[in-house]
Amino acid sequence: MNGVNISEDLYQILPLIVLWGAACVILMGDVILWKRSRGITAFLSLASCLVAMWLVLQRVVSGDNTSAFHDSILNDPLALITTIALLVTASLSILLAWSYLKNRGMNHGEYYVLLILSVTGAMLMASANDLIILFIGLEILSFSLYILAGFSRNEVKSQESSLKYFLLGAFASAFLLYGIAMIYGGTGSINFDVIAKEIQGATAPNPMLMIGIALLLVGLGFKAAVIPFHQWTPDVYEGAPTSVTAYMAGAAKIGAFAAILRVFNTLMPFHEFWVPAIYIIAVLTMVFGNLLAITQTNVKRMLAYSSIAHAGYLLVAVVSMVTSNVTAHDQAIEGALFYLFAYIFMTIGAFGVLVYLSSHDKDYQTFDDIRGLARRHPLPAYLMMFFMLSLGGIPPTMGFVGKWLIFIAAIHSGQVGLAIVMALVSVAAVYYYLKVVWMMCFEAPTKAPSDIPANGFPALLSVTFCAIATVIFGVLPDLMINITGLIR
Amino acid sequence: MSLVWLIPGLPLIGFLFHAFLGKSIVKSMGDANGKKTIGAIATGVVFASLLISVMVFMDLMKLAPMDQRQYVSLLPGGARIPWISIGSLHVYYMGIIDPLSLLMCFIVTGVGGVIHLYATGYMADDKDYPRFFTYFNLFIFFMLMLVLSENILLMFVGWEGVGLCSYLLISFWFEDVENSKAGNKAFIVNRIGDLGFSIGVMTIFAVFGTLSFYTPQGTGFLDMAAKGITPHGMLSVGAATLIALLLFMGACGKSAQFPLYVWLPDAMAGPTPVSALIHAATMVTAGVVMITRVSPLIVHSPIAMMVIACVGVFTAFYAATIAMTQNDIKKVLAYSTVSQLGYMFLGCGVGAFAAGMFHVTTHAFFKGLLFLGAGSVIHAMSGEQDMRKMGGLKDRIPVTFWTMVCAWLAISGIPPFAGFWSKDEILGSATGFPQYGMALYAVGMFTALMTAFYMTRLMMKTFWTKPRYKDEELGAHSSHGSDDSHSHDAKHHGVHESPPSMLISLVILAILSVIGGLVGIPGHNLFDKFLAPSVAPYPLKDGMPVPIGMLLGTAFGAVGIAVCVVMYNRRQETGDLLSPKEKASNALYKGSLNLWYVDAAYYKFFVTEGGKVAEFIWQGIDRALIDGIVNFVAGLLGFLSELFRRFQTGYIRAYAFMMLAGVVAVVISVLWPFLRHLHI
Amino acid sequence: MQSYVPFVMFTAIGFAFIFVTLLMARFVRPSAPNPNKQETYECGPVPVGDAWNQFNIHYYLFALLFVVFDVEAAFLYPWAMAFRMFGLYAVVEMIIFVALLGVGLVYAWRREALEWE
Repeated sequence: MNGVNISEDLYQILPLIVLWGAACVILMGDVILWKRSRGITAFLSLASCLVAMWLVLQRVVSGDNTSAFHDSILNDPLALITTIALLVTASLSILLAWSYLKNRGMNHGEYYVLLILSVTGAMLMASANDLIILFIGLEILSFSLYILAGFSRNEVKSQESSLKYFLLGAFASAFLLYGIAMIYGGTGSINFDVIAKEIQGATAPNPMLMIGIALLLVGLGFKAAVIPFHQWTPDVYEGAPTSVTAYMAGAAKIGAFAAILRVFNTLMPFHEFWVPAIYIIAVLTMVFGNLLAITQTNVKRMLAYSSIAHAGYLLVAVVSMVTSNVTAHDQAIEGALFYLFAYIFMTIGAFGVLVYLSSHDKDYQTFDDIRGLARRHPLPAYLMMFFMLSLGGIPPTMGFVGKWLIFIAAIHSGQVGLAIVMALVSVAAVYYYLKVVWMMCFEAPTKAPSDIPANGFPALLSVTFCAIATVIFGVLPDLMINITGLIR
Repeated sequence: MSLVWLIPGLPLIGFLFHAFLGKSIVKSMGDANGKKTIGAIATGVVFASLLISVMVFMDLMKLAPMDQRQYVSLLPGGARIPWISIGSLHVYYMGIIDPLSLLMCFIVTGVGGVIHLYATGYMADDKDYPRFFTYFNLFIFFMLMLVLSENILLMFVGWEGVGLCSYLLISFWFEDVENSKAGNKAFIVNRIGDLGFSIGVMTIFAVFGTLSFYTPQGTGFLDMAAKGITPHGMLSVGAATLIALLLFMGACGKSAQFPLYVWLPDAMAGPTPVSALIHAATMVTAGVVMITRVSPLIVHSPIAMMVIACVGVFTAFYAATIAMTQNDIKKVLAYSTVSQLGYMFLGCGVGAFAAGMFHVTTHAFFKGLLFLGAGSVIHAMSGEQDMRKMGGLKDRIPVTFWTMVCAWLAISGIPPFAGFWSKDEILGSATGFPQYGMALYAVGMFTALMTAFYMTRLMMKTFWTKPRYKDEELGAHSSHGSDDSHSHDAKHHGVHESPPSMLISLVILAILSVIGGLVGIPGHNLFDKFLAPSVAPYPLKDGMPVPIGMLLGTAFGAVGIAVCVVMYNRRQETGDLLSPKEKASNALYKGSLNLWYVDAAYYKFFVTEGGKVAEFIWQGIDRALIDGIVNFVAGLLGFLSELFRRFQTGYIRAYAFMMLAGVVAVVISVLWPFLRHLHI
Repeated sequence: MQSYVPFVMFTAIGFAFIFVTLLMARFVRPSAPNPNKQETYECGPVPVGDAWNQFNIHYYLFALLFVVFDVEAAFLYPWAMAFRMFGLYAVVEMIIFVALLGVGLVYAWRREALEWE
């Protein structure tokens, strides 16, 4: 540690320190000081996320980014932008959880603490410039999510989802760890910069490194929920409390894709080895993600498959990074980042509507629950309709712009085949998104109307924010592109 | 200049206010007070826009004519946020302040404000009062966007926006299916024109690579057109002709030129203030404004100019022949509007764009007034629109009568009323047009005679001949769905003068109709000088000497009036020139009365026969073939979905196995090229 | 080969220790036979039975806490050997580490995880 400027290192991870510290303080406060008033816990958690976001934004503005801790942490624009996305996700999820936890009888302070901890894990994944840090980040994220998935302790489904997620997650982590070991064996380093240099100088590919890459892809692919490592997704998304699902769908995907983008950007010189694999996975994910969503009758499950399909679109961007055309390469990363933002706003929004509607005697999740919603509760129904249109990629929403950017990037980098598949499955996808709209707007309600819980204002705020963001960045995408374009 | 965004902004605020709060205000403040508040706000924002326009005008006039083209953001605080930014296409939400756009701002907010004021009285008894002013303010917003926009795409947005408002207001009383049909007709016919307009916009982008009219750097497409260049070399006559004709097609739809004029007479189904504001004074002149705006491009194509001039003068003549025999007071005015719009296009076509805009201006005054006067007459007659059942109203509603007289003389081309000067300038310019200028002039002059005749006929039938109604019958018989809301109010029986808010509007427009033309006296033409920075100069050869033209114009107008007065004086009792027997046998009369069977032919050809084609495409191609394919694909997808969801067993062991299979596949796939390398 | 001598000695002594202690115990202990003493030792519960029986959840809580502090000790040992080299920085770092574990302990305590009802 001699010769290293500790304060500079710490400054680089200041947002993380803030969140970690906040998590400890809030946890202690929750069990010792304000035992019963979870409002304080929720508020402090939100505040700490916002403070962290402010710190990150400041860094974006100042452009003051160096690596820290012997190059194992790198706050480059890619990391900063994904970190912003993560903190937005966390903040929106905290707002969502507030009334939901209360109404569903699981109002425990640990929820917020775990949420903050998991977001730090994902942030660590985003900033990791080192395979070990990447792994640690992934595990911090995963463990918090395992617990959160089982947070509804009285529901068997929630318990089941937690256990499934944990077992399969551990399985995937083992592959990831094994892959890291292989990469270390192949290159003699776990640092991305060193690995990149090693690869640049390599004359012949090293099979050990290749196997390592494959296993790394498996581990990260599991988190990102791509086929064939996706099967936990519908079960877990359905079983977990909806507020957790909303958060999990956002944070895990951002963290995973931040890592995927960085890892495979590093491994660019060896693209002929890993591109076929990702190509096939991307096609499978897009096709089967959308295909399987069609027959679902549960909104959460349907959205789970939709989230798989969206991971497929993002993989198209990853494949499109591979090109000698520098502009197209940047376009692909920009497209992926834009899409991540679009994805979190519309996915959290869609789950958020379900969260907002759920009261103590009714957890909204099946198609039957939302049947005729527009007549019973027009506002959430129209918001939901809006998110469905965005998820389906219909202008003037963010979902459309994101898909379009990736589409353009794919064409510019010569991946016309992928672009065509993407366009075709997007058409098929519109079916099941519009089915939700149809259910809400054109079917008669089958059940006696239940009231929206009166304390749902924070959730509504969160959902409305998502909706506004989806429109504004859909109509004026340049506002967002200017941010994601920082990677250039 | 920094306030420009408020010009369209204020009506937009008004629109939002009425749209979201209108109903609750009426509910909370009570019917009378609520309506008063809404009317005041709606009228207030328009007049406020007028005030700002005047302030901007003052600023602009301080600048040299060279600098009288300012580029301003239409967003608060002068923000320059691109609206669309795709590839090389950049569209900003920007406006151009120049004489042309300011002139239109004056007309739209000035005449518009007056008509808003009128409408507060006219619509006072309508249950949908807030909805009316919601649409009305929205219309003003879109119209201002249309005239202010810096690029043709934003203009197109305004263009479509006013079309939407027009549709909404024509079918304002949508309970009557005829009104809805009229709205549909207007919308559908306009679509044909809009198709041309939109293809024209795309062609402009293809040829010039930009959609901005002008830019400060001189890279707008009109900047280039003025120099006769494109980014790829010289501007060819072919390209200019193509663009000009496509845009003119759009103008034909919006400004009701032959053969797309058929929607305008039907549009009179809307409330009379709507007819006055949208279908006489402002929206229908949008085509003329657009053609004038792109005049630097138009002048490159002699063919297009010829087409515009011919279509214009033919429409003028043709519509006048129909106006001669119509019995509905608003229908006469509608065809007269079509005819007058033809004059404006004649002006544009012969290169006298300023003269065309001059006629737009004066026409806004006198035609707005005629419609408002007609509205007042209809109001007085408790909803009756048929002139055969009027007569002798001169002394019963004197204010309406005297203001109508001003408008009548203006449209008939009697000096020094407003219409005379503008019509005279257009016809005078036509004589200087190199190709068939005299022929255009002759048709235009004959049309002027007809105009004087049918307008006098209207006045005779309405005001001077003997009454053909009984006071006590009024209001009783018309309750079965005449076009106006006032048929529903039984408060007024017998002929009655309109409320002050309506009369004030009439008087204001009457004054403008009398003196409004004085800004464009030949030899001392302030109007042309004012507009010069906005329009393309077009060299006309010397035509007919101005004094002779003025003399001839006056004479034709006077003859038309005199003949009509003499003829109707002989038939004071019936108010009809032809006896029923003559009517049945006179082919010309029947043709004119039946609109020369054009509407019927359109209906037969497009609606009946076209409907059969559409039916075949729907049933044969769409439902059987295309839907068949789509349903097959959908069914297949559903089947596959059912099939593959069986893999989702719910057992962790199965999931883990699937993952393991994936791992093996990925590892093999990654090692595959490596193995191949080894073999090589 | 010289360096492996201590390793061989360590192994030998290790093995010797097992046998010596067991042998000593055989001579020293009192003889009181009991069938329970013949059972396999599994920390208290009955070792034979259905594999699907339920354990008290508190076992896991205690075990977890135990593991945490066990690992802490393992962590502290190398630190103690080397902290002179790093000075104050290492001390502060270790205090933070211990404090974090302390937070965990306080949490477990306040949430009554340490009570055995």
